[in-house]
Amino acid sequence: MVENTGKTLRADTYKPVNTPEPLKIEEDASGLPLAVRLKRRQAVATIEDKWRLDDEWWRKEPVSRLYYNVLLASGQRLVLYKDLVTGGWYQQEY
Amino acid sequence: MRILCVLLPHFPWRCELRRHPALADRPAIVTYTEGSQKLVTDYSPHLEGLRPDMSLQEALARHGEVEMLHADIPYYRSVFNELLDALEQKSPLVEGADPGCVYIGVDGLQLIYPDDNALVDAVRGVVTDFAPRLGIAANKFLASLAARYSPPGDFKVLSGAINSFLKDLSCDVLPVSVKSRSKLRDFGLATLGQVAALPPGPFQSQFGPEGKRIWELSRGHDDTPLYPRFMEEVIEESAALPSVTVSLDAILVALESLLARIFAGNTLKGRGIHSLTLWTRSWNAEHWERNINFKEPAMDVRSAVSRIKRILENYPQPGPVEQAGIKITGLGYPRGRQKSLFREVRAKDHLAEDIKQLELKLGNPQVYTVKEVEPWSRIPERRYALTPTNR
Repeated sequence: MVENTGKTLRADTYKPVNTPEPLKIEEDASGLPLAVRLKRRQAVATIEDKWRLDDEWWRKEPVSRLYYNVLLASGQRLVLYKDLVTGGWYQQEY
Repeated sequence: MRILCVLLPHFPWRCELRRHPALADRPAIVTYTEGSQKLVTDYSPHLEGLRPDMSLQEALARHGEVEMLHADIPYYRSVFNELLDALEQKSPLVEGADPGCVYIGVDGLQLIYPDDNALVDAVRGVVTDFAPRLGIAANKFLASLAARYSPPGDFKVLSGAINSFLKDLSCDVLPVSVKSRSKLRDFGLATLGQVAALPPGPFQSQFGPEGKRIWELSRGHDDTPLYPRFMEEVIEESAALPSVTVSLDAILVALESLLARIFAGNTLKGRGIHSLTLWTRSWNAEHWERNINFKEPAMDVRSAVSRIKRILENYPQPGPVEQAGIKITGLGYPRGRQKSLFREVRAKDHLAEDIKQLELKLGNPQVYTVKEVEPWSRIPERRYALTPTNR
């Protein structure tokens, strides 16, 4: 297993783009997103797509995510995912 | 000239011990990779039957239960440089011959160190963690022999009639090529005394140009001068990659941002990069290093990157890379630099200059460029990165 070196990048070197942003989500009993808390609570009207991403399994902090492409009641489209390692929800353009 | 030789046996192992004190109780072997083969660099002093450069397989056949460590050359080098810095406080003439072997010019230090004991005590104080062996003699070869045969915890001075000391020593102590060493063996010349007894002419005719040196060394003559450390300006930058990667582009982006940082700093003072050392460290602690010389000094990031890219393509990495670094070892002025005739190019130069001014005023990079890193990656945040715009 590859351990995290603990080294931090210098701020002026290299900044990843499109890093995930934490998001408050209400889940139903089966773990699907029911509503999203952006500025206000918005219900999820439809889950249009769903896919799973598993990668970097050889590292100490593997990547395991369940992505959802959702349509909110307001008509806004959003890509969000549940981190299957930590259980947290994030918003990220895919 | 009197020279003090400081030998630091098992230097790589002692460096490892410095950062992992628990190794004191565990037998360990420090290894390096050559091609597809793993070889021994160093090992715990109490392990018998091992020697540097023997294959790991052979070493493990003798000592199965050992801890294996990958040689961390940049770390050993930095420890060695630290020691040389400290030794330069004792004498201004310090030569770091190889990691673990230092020659110190001691002429003219009598006012500071009245006798050899005082000098040796001062030097020993610097390298005490490395179980040093110390020897003093009139030249480098004799000083190294004196150090090698010094009693543990003491030092040896070779002076006066040295022939009696040299005559029974094995020819293996000679710092000569492997070919000459094996030829000496073929001729049945086992000791320095046997070589010294031969007439120089016929000996040189058999051994070629190196023959003269072998014959002189066997009599204790060595005219190799002391090369004190050249206080060169070294600029070094390194960065950990956001994720371990085998992608050449990702490594190149990291190196490009390091170069941008170097060019943005004030250390170059209008000079270009003439030579640099490129190194990477893989997740399994493998070290990869290449020296690159530029025919014409690279005056900007782009010209340096194009050369670096070719090297990276031609010399593959030993594994997924997690850290990369650049050490600038030579700086130089270009032969001639003309402003571009084309307005577009001049506008770019102006923009770069403006960005540089902005950053000097506000600190930290202010303008970034989006670079493709791993556009194919399934993980969105791995695909692109922002790097400071070429300042």
